Amino acid sequence: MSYTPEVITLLALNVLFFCIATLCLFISINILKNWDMNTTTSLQYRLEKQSVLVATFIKYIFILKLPLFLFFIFSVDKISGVITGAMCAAGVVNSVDFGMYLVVLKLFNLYLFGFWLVLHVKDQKSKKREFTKIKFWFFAVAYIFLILEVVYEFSFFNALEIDKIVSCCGTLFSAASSSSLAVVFSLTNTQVLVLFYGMFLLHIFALFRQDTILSLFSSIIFLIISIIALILFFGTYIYELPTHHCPFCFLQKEYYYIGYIIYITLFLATFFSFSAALMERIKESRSYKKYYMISLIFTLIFTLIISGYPLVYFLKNGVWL
Amino acid sequence: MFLLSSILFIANSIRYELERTLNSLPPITVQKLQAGRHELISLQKLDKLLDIDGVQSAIPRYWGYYYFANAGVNFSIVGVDIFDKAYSDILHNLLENGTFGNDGMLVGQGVAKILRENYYKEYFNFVKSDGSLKQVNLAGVFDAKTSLESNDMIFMPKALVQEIFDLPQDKATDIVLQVANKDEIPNIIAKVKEIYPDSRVITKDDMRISYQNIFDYKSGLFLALFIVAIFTFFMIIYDRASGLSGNEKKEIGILKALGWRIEDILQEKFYEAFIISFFAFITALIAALSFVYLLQAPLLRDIFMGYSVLKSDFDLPFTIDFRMLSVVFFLSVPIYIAAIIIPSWRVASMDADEVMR
Repeated sequence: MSYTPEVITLLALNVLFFCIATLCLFISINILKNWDMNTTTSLQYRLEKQSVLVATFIKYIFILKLPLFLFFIFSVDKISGVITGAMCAAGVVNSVDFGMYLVVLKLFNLYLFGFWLVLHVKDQKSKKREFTKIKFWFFAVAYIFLILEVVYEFSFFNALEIDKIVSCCGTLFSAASSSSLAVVFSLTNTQVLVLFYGMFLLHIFALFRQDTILSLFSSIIFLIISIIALILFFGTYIYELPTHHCPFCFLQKEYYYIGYIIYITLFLATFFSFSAALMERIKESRSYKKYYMISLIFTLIFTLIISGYPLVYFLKNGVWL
Repeated sequence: MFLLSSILFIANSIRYELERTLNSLPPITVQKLQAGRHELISLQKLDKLLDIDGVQSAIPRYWGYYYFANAGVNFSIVGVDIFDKAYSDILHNLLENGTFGNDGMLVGQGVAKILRENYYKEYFNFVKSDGSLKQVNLAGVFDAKTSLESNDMIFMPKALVQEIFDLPQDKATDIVLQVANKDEIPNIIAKVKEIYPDSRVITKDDMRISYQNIFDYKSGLFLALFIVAIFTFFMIIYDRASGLSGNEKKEIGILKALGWRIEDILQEKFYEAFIISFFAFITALIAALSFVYLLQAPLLRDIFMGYSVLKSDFDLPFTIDFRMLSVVFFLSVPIYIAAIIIPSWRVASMDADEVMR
């Protein structure tokens, strides 16, 4: 248990989210039950007005969640200075059993809410409001995950013990068979690189073709493969240390906070193509060119940044790690 | 918001100052423990400690606290010899610049002030343990980068310290080890503990962690202040959330009459709230900055000070860090925006004529 100002801030905002989201949930259930675009009852009018409120609130939550996620990682990173053994966020996160789930869940929620927003924008544009029901169904599902996240986050900071000794990221992400990623570590560097650049090309290809199913598939796989490649290969070049595989340490000041840029570009690169493809699946229309383009640009930036590290290293030292 | 950021600024400055102090401290300090209390350490141990591989030098330190009853304060008296190697930067500077002869002393600014107030202008009479007086001349006042550590310090020759505190000739207060390679510190600690199991070994890292604990985790005072500040802010927010003023209602009514949809109005309110709260944030920040660093935070600063009168006299060094700014930002701007949405929606969803009436 540790209440630093950062933790209080995070928890306070979580309480706020909880209140707002619950209010929204009640309204959405009401909307789901009684929504009928064809009637002209006063109930329908009221619902339409309420739907605006809910939409605004969800937008608000999402806009806040983006920087808040970075802030979460940042403050966990700071706590690592106090906990024995932890060198970066990885140690702190793993000091609690479900810490890793919390981070993944947070990321997942970002995608969920982001997708909701895309749905909302489309809904606003269509005259018949055909997405409204789907939109609120979707929110009801997202709500469950949001609450799960809030509960997790509270118990995370509750369970955090400052004087407990935790594993450092060096052991968590090592090739030792006991580490959580032992299976992944059996891949060789060449395999990883082939996989990564293969996926990169496939993703780019899918974005160029604007192929729905292909880009749906490639967005997800590219995200996973990128993270694995970061841990296995690119990370070691950022640290210039062949044994250090941590995906959290490069968020720190020593590496000029490069991790934030890497992760943000990766998020944008996969999110837009994914949501565009998903939208096309739901409704057959082809008006998502812009989304694919955004995705394409960020995919290129992301790949350039992380490929730059090994290249620069090679140019400087004349050898690969 | 102003209060909140001021508090955070001060805490941050103090932490920064402590960290700076820490950096000038020796890497390893060896103390002797007896019955769980700090005891004088025998000088015979010095040679054995020097024999440990990796230890660059071992210097005995002579220091103690002298209680000056008239002013009700503690002085920290440190004994040094001109020919000694300096174990900290301050000492180093001091030994290069100042001299205090055989019966003089150099004092920190805080000490100098207290002495002046008590009419000791040229010398000070220390009361020895047998009750007799020892007169020590005031050779000068020194000034260090971090005043937190040096304010209550008095430097004087080793022999004088031994005389005043009645220390045995073959013992010192503790021993400071200098280590060439930082990475070897854990090894050396283990070896010291093996040779002298009754010793307590303190490293820089230990100190750093305990300091951070004080300022981040265990300081109830800080937390209490922080919570008070937040709740005051919430009260204001609550007031804001409970309703819009007549003017604002009218404004929304006119916008509706002009054909704005609820979405548009909410969006407009959203931006408005953001701009207002963001400017409030910036203004508060600037106000807090000037309050803390230009005016040295009157009133508020005293809350953070220690028990000793002497310690309270120091400058807050200027630091700013990103995480503190973001804490203040996240606590203020989003909450204000959230508080503005519901009342605006309520008004916006009413009919235009109803609102304006």
